[in-house]
Amino acid sequence: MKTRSVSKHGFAETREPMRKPKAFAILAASFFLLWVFGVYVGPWLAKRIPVMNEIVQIIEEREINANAYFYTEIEASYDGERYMIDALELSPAEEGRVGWFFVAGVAYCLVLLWFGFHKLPLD
Amino acid sequence: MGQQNQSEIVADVGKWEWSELLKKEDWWAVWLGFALLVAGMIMYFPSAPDLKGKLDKAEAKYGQQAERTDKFKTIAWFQLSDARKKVKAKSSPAGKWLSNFSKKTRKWSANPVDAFYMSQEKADAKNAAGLPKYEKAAAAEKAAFSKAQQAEQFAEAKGFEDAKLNAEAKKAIEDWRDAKLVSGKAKGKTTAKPYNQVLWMIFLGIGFAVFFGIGVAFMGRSFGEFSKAFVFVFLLAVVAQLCSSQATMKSYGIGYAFWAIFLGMLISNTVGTPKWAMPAVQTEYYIKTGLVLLGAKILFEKIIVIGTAGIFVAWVVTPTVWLVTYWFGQKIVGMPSKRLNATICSDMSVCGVSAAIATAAACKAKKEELTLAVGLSLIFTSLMMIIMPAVIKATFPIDKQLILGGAWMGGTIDATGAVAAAGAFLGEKALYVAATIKMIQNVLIGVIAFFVALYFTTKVEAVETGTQVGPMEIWYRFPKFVLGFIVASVVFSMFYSAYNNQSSGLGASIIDQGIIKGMGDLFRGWFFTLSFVSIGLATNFKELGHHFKGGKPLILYVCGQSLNLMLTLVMAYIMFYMVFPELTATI
Repeated sequence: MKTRSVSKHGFAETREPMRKPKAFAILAASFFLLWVFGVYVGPWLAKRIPVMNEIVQIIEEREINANAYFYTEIEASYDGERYMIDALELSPAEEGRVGWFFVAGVAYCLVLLWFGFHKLPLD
Repeated sequence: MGQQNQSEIVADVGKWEWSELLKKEDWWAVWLGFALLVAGMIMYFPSAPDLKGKLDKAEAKYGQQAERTDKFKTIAWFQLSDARKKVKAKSSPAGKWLSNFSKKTRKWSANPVDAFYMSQEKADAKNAAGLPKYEKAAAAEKAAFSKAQQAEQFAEAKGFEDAKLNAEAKKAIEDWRDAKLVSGKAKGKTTAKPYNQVLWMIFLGIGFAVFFGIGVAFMGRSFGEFSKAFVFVFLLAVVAQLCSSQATMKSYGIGYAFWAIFLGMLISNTVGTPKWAMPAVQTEYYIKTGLVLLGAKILFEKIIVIGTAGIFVAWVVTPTVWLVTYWFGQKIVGMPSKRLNATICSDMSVCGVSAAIATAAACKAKKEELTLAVGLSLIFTSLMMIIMPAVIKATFPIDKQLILGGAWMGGTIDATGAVAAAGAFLGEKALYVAATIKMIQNVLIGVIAFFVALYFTTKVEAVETGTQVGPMEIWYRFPKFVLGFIVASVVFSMFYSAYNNQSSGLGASIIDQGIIKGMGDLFRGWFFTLSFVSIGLATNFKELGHHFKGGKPLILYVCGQSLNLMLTLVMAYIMFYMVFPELTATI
């Protein structure tokens, strides 16, 4: 295991120190390249991949947060929820709603996890 | 693994003493998370009678009209739905203030200053530019609404028994909704207001330093050193948010998790992390606090949304894939770390970054292992967001593209945002199905994190340390923040159901659109950004390369995702087209 040391410049280091001018040059170049990608290369690339271009347009038009990591971060989750609840109510398939099959699905999940985690390999 | 260095893992192991409640990071994460949630309850719960009044008023206005037929969704049904949607606890003055206080950087294209500041002139110019498009869209919406009204009247005149007229009315109403959506988005581009986020961000940084600093002081570390160091970590978090809010990066789905890790690693591997900043590099502290807030969003009532079909696609396939992939990783691929294996299994089978965070913390994975799992998930999410809808469009029969395609993407693409983008590419129904399946899968995070914590505490650590695991030993070792996460989930699930029982939609207005979006979400994103920045600042490329040795994590991800794709597709087909075709017809 590597231990952290502190250089004379007051920086914590986990490996062989890089010369400061070189380090700052790499840092600045990285930021510059990111900016170039975001402003020029990214949009240029997106326009040249047909599906990508279409998805980018949809994301912009509908203001979808494509970076969202959780359902609460996108409006479509709530719209979809309302839409689906209504579809379920309108559906004649009663067993498709919350009933024994539904409970069986949840129970299967929990039982599977319980036994699964007991039987997983430990070596 | 029992001998892992404590600074490298995402959680620590402790022996039980009552003083732990004030001295251990796990407990402070619970207290801080609960403090925010309780503050949210104090802020938003008193508005319940007022919100209920608004919902009842909407029900009285549109309810009866909305239920005239079950043949299709009437205009009044949508109007009722729209009226309910507007009832939000977070719209209160206090909620708006909190939103401004905690707001992340705004969307920008070429000039980063736009992320923090917009003048009145620029806002006016932006609004003026958007006005012609809005006027055109508003006129189109008005015309579509008239047509929808007329079509509905014709259908009603025949008692909603004429299938042709019903279909025409349904189509006209759908056209009106599309026009309304376009008009709403166009209107949004005419309501820009000037802003100056700089001062707010300074206040937010100070607020966070005090918020986390209190716990730091109780844990016996220096509040002053932490506060000074926090300036650096918070600034990097702001830069990570700035990068993720750039228009192109948003379109590519490259979010703050990537930028925070990347920027942290860029600094630590070039100029080095300043020594004075190290006291604020507290990955576990921020991550666990964020996870307790995440617990409040795991609302169990959400899993009933698509009934049995949704449960089988999201809750039966996912644990099956998790367990098979984990076994495959240990026995066939020969993963060197069980914790890395578990973290990859979660991000690949459940829901990407948030599942990876919860699992890594629950099994005490190393920072590099979480970084690797998150990196794999982000790369494959971006690829699948583009490839899957294209494949579905090219190969699926037209009548199955929306429902089957939507369910397939919802169950397999890791991140929710990418699921929504890919779903919207196919169409409205695909978006709704995909987003709902993903939402049900999101709820599974809590269940998986609990079982993972139990498995690693009772099985893996017992083998690693060679000690017997009795009930007290399990309690000593169990990551306590998981308890906070579960308590938050159970308590808010109960509140959600109780409010919904009072009035339809009240749970969504107070819990979803109040405590979750008006409190938990506002801070959780920041806490995860701070934790990812900390991970980056404490990681070097060589160590990361060591964990990637032989490409085993990549092999595991690809094999697991292939199984996930196959099982989800088969299960979605069975559920939506063989077992419940009537449900599919009404979606």
